[in-house]
Amino acid sequence: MAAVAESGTVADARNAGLRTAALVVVLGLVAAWFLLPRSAAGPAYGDMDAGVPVRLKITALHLNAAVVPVQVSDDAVLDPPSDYREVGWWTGSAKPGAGSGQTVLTGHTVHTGGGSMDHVGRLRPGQKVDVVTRRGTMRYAVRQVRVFSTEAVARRAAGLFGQQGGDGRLVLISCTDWNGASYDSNVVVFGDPLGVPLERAG
Amino acid sequence: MRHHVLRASALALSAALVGLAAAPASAATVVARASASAAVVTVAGTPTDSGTYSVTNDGSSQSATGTNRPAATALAGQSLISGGVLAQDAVTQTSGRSAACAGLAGQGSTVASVGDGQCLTPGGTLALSAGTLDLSHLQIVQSTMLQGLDQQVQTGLQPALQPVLGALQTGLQTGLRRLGDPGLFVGLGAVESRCTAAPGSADGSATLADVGAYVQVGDQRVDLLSLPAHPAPNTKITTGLGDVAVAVENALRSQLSTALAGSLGPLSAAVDRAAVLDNVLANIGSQLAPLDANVLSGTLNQQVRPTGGSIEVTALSLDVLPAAAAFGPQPLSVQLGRSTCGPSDRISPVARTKPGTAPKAPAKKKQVLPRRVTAGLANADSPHGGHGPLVLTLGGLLVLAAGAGALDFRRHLGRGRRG
Repeated sequence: MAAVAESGTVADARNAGLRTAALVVVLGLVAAWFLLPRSAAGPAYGDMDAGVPVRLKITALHLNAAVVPVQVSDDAVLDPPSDYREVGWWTGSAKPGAGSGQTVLTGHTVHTGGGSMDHVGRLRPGQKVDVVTRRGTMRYAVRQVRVFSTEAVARRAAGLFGQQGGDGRLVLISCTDWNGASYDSNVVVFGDPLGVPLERAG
Repeated sequence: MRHHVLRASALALSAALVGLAAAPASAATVVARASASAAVVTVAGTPTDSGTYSVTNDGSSQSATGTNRPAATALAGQSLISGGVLAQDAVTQTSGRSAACAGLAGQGSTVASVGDGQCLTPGGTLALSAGTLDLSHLQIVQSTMLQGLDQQVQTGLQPALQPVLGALQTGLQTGLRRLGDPGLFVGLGAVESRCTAAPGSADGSATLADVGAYVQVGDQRVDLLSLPAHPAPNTKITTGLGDVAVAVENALRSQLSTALAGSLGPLSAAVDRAAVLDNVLANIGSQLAPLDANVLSGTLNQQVRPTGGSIEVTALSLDVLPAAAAFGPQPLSVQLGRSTCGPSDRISPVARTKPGTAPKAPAKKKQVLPRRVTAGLANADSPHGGHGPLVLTLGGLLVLAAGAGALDFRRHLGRGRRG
């Protein structure tokens, strides 16, 4: 009889413990629901003074990466940041918000996953890309996604990276066409500047 | 009588000797000089220009050659420039100073006197036609149509391949007809150069108002270059027509899509039309690949200083390179607004005291453009993958929940045993 009573006590205690654990999980998830950022769209856009980019956000790809400045080497190689989760802004290109030139951002594609720009090739025309600066967030609309061989990139360098002319478009560039050992091509996303989103509507 | 003849001969001889002694001095002394030429167009190695207006000053007066009121019709034998306002003028002073100004502007522009300010006030915009792109040799290559498609689909489509190919060829020709021949243009509001010189010094500048190169593809304008209004000396520009190739591909896409859909018939449901279309357009894109090469190059505010006291400024020097010939436009070069000032034969105080210290144009470091982007990694070595923070957060939440559950379990267990 005592054994039965002992068994009932243990079962009650176990149920109470499970209830508490479940309560903590539920409270944690509810808190996360309110605290995590959610995407929103606004139809109106304003102007912005050109500013150094600090973050790249692409809701469609769940991409939210820090942006750090990078330089082109003397032998004309643009290398993204060594931290493959970050994105590099080529300091020789226009700052977001500038009315001319083009803003060039580059990030790694990692074959086994985890690179900041693993999925930029999946973007489709019209999808939005946000570049956060200390002066505001510049929003771009994807105009086209193209794949160029590395030779074609070299040939098109003036068009892809040149700062003469232009309207401040965004150029995202990463790698694609994994051949089992390295990448054969670059994927390039062109975005038209829309401006700073002025309102957030659900 | 004999004495009179001798006296007259001696007088004449003296006058002749004085004249001979003075003549070389006056011919050698040019205290100021300047010249201006509005436009030079060279097609197939043959230059055509607006003429050159040149002035010199001998210290007492200015003399000039050429015209300072050129007409656009002066540029015969070329089709690049038709219309517009040409300006070329130059002046000198007996003090040794000189100034020149030259350029080209759209209709309605006005020409002012040469001096320190602008000599052209922009009016309308002028479009210079540098040629048209011939796309008639584009074709659909049958062997590339089905590349990469499922073998079953390839086998199923094989019997209908000829009709589909024919329909696509017709669609391509229709699309190209609608596009017409894309024209390569340089649009400009006004382009001009200016220079001034004084004994021992010279300076120059250029102004470009609303100047750019573009290609008209159907009713779409594809901008290639938009040039700065006040370029630094010797600013280099170069561009290919890669964006034009993209515009052509995009323009043909809907036409070819319609042709493909109409020719597949009952196979329509079984064939991935988008994949076939992508193959066809990729092949057309490869035929347009030469447009990626640099076909336009040039220099803005081109400055040459033969001596410290002279300068030659060309506002815009533009070349259509031989690479463009693959699509029709012939190689040509155009120089707009060429002004020269100095040198003066008068020696400046600076030159006397500091020989060999002629001012040089400031050197502008050329920007290195990336030609390779190494943005691919085989694997991520760092243990902190992209989902690291999420995994850590969830792990922490589970540990917290397990701890709270265990504490509650012990509390209830103790209470039960005491009861």
